[in-house]
Amino acid sequence: MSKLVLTVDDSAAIREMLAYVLKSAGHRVIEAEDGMDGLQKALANQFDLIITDQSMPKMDGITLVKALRALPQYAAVPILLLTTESSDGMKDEGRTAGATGWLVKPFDPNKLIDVVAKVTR
Amino acid sequence: MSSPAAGEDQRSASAAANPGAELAGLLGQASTALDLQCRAAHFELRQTQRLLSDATRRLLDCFHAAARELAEPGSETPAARAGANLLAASQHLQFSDLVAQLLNSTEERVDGLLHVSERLQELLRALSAPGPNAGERLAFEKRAFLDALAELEGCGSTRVHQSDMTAGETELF
Amino acid sequence: MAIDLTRFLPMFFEETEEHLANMETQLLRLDPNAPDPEALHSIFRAAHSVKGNSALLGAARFSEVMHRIESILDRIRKEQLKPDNDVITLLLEACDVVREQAGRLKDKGECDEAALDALHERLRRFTPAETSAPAPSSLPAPARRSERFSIEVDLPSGQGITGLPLANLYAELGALGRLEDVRTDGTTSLSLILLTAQSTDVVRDKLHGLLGAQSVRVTPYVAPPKLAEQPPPAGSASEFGLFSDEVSLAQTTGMLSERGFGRRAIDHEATGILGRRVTDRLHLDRSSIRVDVAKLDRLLNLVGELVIAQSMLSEAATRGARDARLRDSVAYVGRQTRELQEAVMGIRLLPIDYLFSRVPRLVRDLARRLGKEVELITHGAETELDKEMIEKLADPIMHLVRNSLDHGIEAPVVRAAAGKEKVGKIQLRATHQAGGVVIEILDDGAGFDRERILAKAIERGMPAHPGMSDEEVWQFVFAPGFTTAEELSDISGRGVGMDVVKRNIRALGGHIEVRSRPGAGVHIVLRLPLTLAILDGMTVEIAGETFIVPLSLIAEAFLPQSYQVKTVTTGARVVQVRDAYLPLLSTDQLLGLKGKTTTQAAIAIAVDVDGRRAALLVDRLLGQQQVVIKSLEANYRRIPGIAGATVLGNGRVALILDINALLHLEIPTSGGQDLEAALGAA
Repeated sequence: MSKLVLTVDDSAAIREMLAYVLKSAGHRVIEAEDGMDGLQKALANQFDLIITDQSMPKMDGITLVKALRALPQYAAVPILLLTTESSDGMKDEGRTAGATGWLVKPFDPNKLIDVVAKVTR
Repeated sequence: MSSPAAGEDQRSASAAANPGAELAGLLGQASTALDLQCRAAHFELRQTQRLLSDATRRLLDCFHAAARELAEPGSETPAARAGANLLAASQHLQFSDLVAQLLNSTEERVDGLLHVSERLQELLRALSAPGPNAGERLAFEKRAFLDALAELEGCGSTRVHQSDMTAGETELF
Repeated sequence: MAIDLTRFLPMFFEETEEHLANMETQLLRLDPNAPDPEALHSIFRAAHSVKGNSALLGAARFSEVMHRIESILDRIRKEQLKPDNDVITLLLEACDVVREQAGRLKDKGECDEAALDALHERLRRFTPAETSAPAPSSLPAPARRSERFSIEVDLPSGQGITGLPLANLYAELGALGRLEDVRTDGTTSLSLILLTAQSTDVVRDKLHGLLGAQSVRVTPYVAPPKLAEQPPPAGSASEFGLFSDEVSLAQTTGMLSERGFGRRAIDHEATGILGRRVTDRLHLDRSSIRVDVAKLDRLLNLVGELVIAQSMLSEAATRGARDARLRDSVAYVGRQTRELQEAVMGIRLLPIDYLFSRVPRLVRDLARRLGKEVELITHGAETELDKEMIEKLADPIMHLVRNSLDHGIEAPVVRAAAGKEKVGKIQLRATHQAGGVVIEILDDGAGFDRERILAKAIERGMPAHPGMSDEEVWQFVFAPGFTTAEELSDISGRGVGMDVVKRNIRALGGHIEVRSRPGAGVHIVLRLPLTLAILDGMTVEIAGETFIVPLSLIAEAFLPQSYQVKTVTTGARVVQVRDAYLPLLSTDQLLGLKGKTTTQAAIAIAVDVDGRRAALLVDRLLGQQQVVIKSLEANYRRIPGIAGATVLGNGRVALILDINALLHLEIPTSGGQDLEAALGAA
């Protein structure tokens, strides 16, 4: 099933690769280039899934997750954190903020497709 | 030819006579070297950033072009294999983000070091320049130097740990 | 221990040039009434960097001048000095002097110290309160330190968070600074941490305006005391994972206020100002590449080889055309190679803005000097050209703009009298068209004076007559030494300009077209290839060998009939093409080859190089293709009449003809040993 996905990352390369992989799996993608842009777009649309980078201008990923979880319409929507670090400190923070899962960069395209299918079932 | 021991004595004698000046001299040299290297490193980092940014853009454009070609109707089985290759490539093309973060982190450190070095030079100047406001100026420069050192602690990001980057991804133009 | 500073000199010069250019651009954009603090900060940092570099390398005078500039900028930052026209002009001139002297230092190893001293004096007068010795080095502190605020918002009872104008709230916060944390209990309040350089009053006003004064409280943020470090639990390094599905919102927020929030705040304490600097730097500079040119050339060479290899493959494929899959695969490879070629060529491509950015300064200074009012409009500054081409276009384009300013745009009074707007317009436009670049320079000035040009041309004995079309008349402007300016102004008047411009454009493989309407202005169009290293050529056969003729120089190709060919008294031959006679050249003889070319079977190619026209005889036309130019000199040596070489798809070498040289060659008596040897060596 085709899902509407929001991707938030300040790196054009990451955004474009996410879009390419997600679209090749049949999903629709809207991109944002920082936390605030992501939040604005999340308010303006209803997404089935949100994938966000951690370190970005304006607002980082974890803060974005918190802001989204505070909104009733995103309380239960899956949110994935894309991080360069797979330390447990980061995982903890992500979990407590309310993220659904994490991906370490550079993400594996096949694994991404699998996770997306799994969390948006 | 004086014996090494005599030379040592001489040096320690003069050091004892004017420890401050000698120390200031050595620190001055170290500071200058530090400054120079920082500036050069800064310059090289900026070059690398630009190179990276441009190369990435071009690679991405190539990638998108190839993907578009494949999507054209009438492509045969080579297209399926190529498609799988492109998907694999999508992972490798993400390198620029990671390298960019590393570069930013390094640049921050370099900036911090540069700042420290500049403040150190001012401090040394204040140390060796007596004058009417010498005491005030010295206190000001000491404070500024220590502040710069403190800021250095926060420089750079320890958050980027990338263990698995095979050579080839960083093969830039 | 002396440090060898000479290694750092190239870097110093390059950086200084870069910083000065940046300062100039930013100064030109500065609004005197509301100077952008970011821009001032950026100019200050640039000046500071040059100051530091200069001091380090012993260029004390440079350092002192930069220090003066810093002081002036500081006064502007503190709003003690308004950056009006005079101040900006002074700063721009200062940049000029420094740039010039740095250039001299680089080229000759010494600079004009008196000039720097004079500049220093002029600058010093703008900072009267300063003592003569530099003050304790004040590093560029941001105009205002960033601070954290804690913002508490009461949620409208009954509606919770959805009762708030969220989109507006977040938009407002985003504009103020960086949002660092968000927490809510869902029913009574929303808490936010904002990092911003704005003052408390500004933040309060914005939020009160949006949400009402009773519902928002803004206070400086105070970090809670440091918590004990938690030992990291032993975890796996799997690439992805899912948290437990049962984590509910309530649990999440509970945990937040307890643990997560406080700990993250500690990390940020250390960053302070640097926190802001990190976010600034996450945006990469999008400007050009400065890379060792030798590396680029090597790479370009490799791509060139790839192009050749691909065309070989293509050729093999056409011969084995029965296998459709092979053909398709080859076609696919061909497309990818072209893409790659373009991508690699792209590294040498720079936006023409590199050139355009120098023009505003020229226009500003010159217009002032001439007492004219001119507005400059540029389009397509992002259009890309080969780096080398941009460097070679700089002079011609500057000259054309100078012409427009000097001779084209009229003085305001004259314009007003003619019913035009007082402010003249000059437009610079660049676009990509048909695989090349088109650059246009337009002005709405007086246009060419047809009568004067005609008169001048007739006076100088040129083939001019009153019945000529406008286009033909304008061509006289390109004649060497031509000028209609009554007095040679020191700006552009010598009239050596236009012919040199045309020659320069030609040398780049381009054309220049000129259009004008009296009273309406002049429109100059430059058409250029994208790059110098690749040529669109026509492959021809001469005396059994393959040669390439640059397509841009070919007017037409035809089969001369015997009645069209005449012999003149000197023994030379001409061929009639419509109403003109062109010299008919036996190319094989010119090149010293043992020719088999007779007029009957041969084809004539009419070429036009800078107005010189001729017809070259060749045996056959083989086709048309893009070739990568390889220098002959690198592999062999210079041969008159040959511009370079390339390898064709069939693996054979073809020499590229230098048409301009050929037209000037006489038939050699030595025979073609040189050429044949070259063909062997290539």
